[in-house]
Amino acid sequence: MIQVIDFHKTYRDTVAVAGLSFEVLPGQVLGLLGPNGAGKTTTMRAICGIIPPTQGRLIVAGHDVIADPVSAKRELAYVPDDPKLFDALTVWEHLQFTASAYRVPDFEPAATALLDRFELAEQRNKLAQELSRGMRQKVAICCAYLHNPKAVLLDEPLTGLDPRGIRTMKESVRQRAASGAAFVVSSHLLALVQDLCTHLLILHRGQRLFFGATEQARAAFADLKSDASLEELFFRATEAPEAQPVPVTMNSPT
Amino acid sequence: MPPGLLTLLHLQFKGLLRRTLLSLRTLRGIIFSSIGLLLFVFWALPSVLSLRHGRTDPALVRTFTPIILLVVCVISLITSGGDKAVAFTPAEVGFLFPGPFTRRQLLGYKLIKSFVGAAASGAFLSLLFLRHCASWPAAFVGLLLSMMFAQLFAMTVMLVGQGVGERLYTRGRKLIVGAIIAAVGVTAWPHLKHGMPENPTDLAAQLRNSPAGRILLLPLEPFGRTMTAPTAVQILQWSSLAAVVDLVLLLVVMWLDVNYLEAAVTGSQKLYDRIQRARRGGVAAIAAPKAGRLRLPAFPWLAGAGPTGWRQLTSALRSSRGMLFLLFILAISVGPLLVAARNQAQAAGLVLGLAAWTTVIMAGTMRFDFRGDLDQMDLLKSLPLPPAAVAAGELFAPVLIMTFAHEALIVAAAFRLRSHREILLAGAALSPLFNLLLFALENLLFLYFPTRIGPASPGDFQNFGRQIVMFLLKFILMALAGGVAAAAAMLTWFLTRSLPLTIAAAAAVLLIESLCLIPLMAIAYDRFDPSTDTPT
Repeated sequence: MIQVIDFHKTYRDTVAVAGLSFEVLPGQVLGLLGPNGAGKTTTMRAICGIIPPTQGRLIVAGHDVIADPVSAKRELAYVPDDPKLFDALTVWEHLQFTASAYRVPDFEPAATALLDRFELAEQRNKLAQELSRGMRQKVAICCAYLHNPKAVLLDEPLTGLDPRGIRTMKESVRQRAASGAAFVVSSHLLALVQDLCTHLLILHRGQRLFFGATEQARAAFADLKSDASLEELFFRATEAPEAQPVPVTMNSPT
Repeated sequence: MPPGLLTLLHLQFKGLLRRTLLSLRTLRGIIFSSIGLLLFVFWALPSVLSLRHGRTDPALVRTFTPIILLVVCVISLITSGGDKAVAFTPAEVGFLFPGPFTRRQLLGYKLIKSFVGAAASGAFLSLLFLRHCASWPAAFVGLLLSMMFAQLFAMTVMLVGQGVGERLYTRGRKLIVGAIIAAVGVTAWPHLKHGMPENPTDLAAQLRNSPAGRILLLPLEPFGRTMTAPTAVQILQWSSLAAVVDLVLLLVVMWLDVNYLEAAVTGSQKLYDRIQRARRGGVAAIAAPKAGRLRLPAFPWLAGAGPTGWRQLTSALRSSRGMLFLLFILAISVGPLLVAARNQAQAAGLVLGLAAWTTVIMAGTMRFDFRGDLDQMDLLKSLPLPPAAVAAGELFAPVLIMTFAHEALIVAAAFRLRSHREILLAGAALSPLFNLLLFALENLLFLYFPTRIGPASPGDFQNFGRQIVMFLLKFILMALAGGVAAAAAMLTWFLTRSLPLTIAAAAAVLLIESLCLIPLMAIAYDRFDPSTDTPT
């Protein structure tokens, strides 16, 4: 569903991402991990067609993001970190616009169901500027889900959510993945990633340190215990990465 | 245009109307809106009445309009480098950039939005500028097309810059700007070398009729001609030519199809950050603060006022490079202006005008005090500092900077205005106390009526009304306070005929008035509740 082939992104003299390749199949939830400045957001923005790659190909649901961006974008949804809403629009109007942009026919029942699920029904007619941080996050998520995208990219999706919102968010990811959507979730909350993600992609200074199924991540680093936590794995992978053996990777795209 | 973008435009327009109508649901909203509307009517009325008589000579408008547009073009060229990009709001970046829209469609959306905004602004501005135009339709159409020209030109240069690459673009625009300035300078020098002309219109006409002027200004002529077209047919003819100029730029913008998205993401975020900084610190704080080498030494405790004063002054010096540079330019340029002035009276007028401008503009734009600390009130109030100390500390930076501006102006003027040196000395002595009073009043009113600087939209009469009411209140209070000081000075002069004693009397009154305001500021600050008093 999402294929990234030899993706490079360079800004003047700075290499943000170098030779990154991975894929996310339908039903998979890829956890995108890495220290600050590793290239996570750059990668997600490139997949969404917001920034062009310096080199490489990005394919979403069979459509090349550079050659056919509109078709690719119709199949995906992106929720950035701290999403900004249109201050003068109400919650419902955000969904109305999204339905129009993605040509979702008869969107009202689906939109109402999303608002109920994310406990936004009472805020339906509130202006975006009146919402709390967590409510804005939920509105952005509802807008992302409205057109049933095949690929969903979430950057720190739990920031600002209350415990119920966190549970609803996680359940929604599992359900949509089970229905065939591909997810990429970027987060510093390793507990979330451990709980939710079927695969991991660990970046460091724009380079791929590990890509593969979560349960095989520990095996990739020989000196890790079999019951090592994701946190231990992360620190093992990102500290002195140049001194590590090349890890085993799975499901690399050909 | 895809239906999604049209829907968004429709919803945004609906949202703007709704926000305006919501503001009329409170008594304060109705009052401020009524005042704003009334003032606008008074402001526009003379212009409307001038339709019968008192209209500006159309030749003047035809002369100056293309020159003004040329200046706008040059400014666009000069400021278009670096991180400048087609600006989208953060919400537009978040929803539209990953959305199923092409780059051209997003540009089209942006331009439609600009057109609607220009039409709304044009509707209001056309009433204000009516005295300079032949009729209201001529004014409206001319202004609308001129504003669209400015937008399209700025967009074109930005997209060209992104398309050809930074190095080539920077060299290219320097050449173009240099050529324009050289052409203007060569034409204007023979008229300037003997001092400023009595009538600047003659200089403008010379520029316009020079060979370089004719070439540069030819595509800009239709805009001024539209505004001064006396008949409907001529409005149509000239506006069609102006529209063709706009259309050419539009076609260039669409044809380029530059991948501006990446630059727009970065540029839009920086613009958003600048707007947020301006909302907090005023126009003076728009530049991103940079630490650089500037490190002020720690201030003495001063009963708790020292740390606050140090913080605000450091912020001001790091954030206001642009404003401080402007002050510096003002200080060194006033000298040549005074030299160029024909006589002492003209020179004195220049000095007074500059002093008034700096005071009025800078008092409002330089918010390195409570007005800029609106979002930090929680933190401020949690500090173990007495309210009076915080209040005094908050005044330090703006008073010091404004006093510096005044003193620089006065020193520059003193060389020229030999016969007025005593008055200038009095001004220099009283400036710090006057500024203390001014900023104490600004902050006191702000603490009782906190507001945020926000983007003004055409027809936002409530915002306009509120600003006018606050301005009038400040003016009245300053006039009263200044009047008492002036009365004390006059009485002292009458009794003693001694300038030093007169200045001392005025200074004493100003000091007493200022010192009385600081405890009031402290009370207002102490009562300020960030959970309810902070405006959105």
